[in-house]
Amino acid sequence: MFLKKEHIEGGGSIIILTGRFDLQAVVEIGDEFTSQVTEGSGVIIDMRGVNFMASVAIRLLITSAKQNAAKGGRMVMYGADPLIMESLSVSGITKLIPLFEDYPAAVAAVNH
Amino acid sequence: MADRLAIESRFDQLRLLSDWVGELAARQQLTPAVAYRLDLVLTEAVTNIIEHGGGNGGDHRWIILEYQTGDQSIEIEIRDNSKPFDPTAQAEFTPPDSLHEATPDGRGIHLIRKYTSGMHYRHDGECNILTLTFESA
Repeated sequence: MFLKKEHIEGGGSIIILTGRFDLQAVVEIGDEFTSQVTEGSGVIIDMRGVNFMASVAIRLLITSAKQNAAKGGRMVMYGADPLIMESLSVSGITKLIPLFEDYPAAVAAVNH
Repeated sequence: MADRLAIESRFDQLRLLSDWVGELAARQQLTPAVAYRLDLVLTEAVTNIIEHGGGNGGDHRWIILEYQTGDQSIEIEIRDNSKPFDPTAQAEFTPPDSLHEATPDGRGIHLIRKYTSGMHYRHDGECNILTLTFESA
């Protein structure tokens, strides 16, 4: 799995993920992901390049989002594949970390 | 492809599992949605065995998966020689209403329950045997 961080005009950052988000990915990029998204700022997770998501990845998202929220930040996601969207919804994640269809909606939400 | 996959009970074996599921899906001409759910459920089930069964480098622990197909279903039997662990006995997961209340664990078995039409566990004295049934159509 690959992780890339970019800054959003107006504040916050976007984390672009690409690949299979499973245990091996969590081992590979987990620490970097956590450090990049827990600064207490607005964070958008770009899910367009993610083709699989296991519950260990959901665990990483929740722990990171909680740490970020504790510092006053907000995490949202956008662009998930419909099958990943379904498993996120079944897991109750979309109530905790809002998931949007497109980038403008995610930016509007994170800067709200 | 083999109807059977034998792996060691280690996290670094999980990609072998997903490769096997991909071959199974192609052979059985599963829809992308069924193939994805099958991959997810088996990943969760095997991860639980490694995590809760004392695997991931433990002494000669193995996991064997075998499948058989029915008219509209696929049945997967997962057999392992790790510590007894019954996923069917785990409490039902209740999704939290807020991030503040959320705990990170419990979603793997929840996903298995949601995406299978049957989940049965038994221990034969030596092995855990978990049987999962999927609707394939």
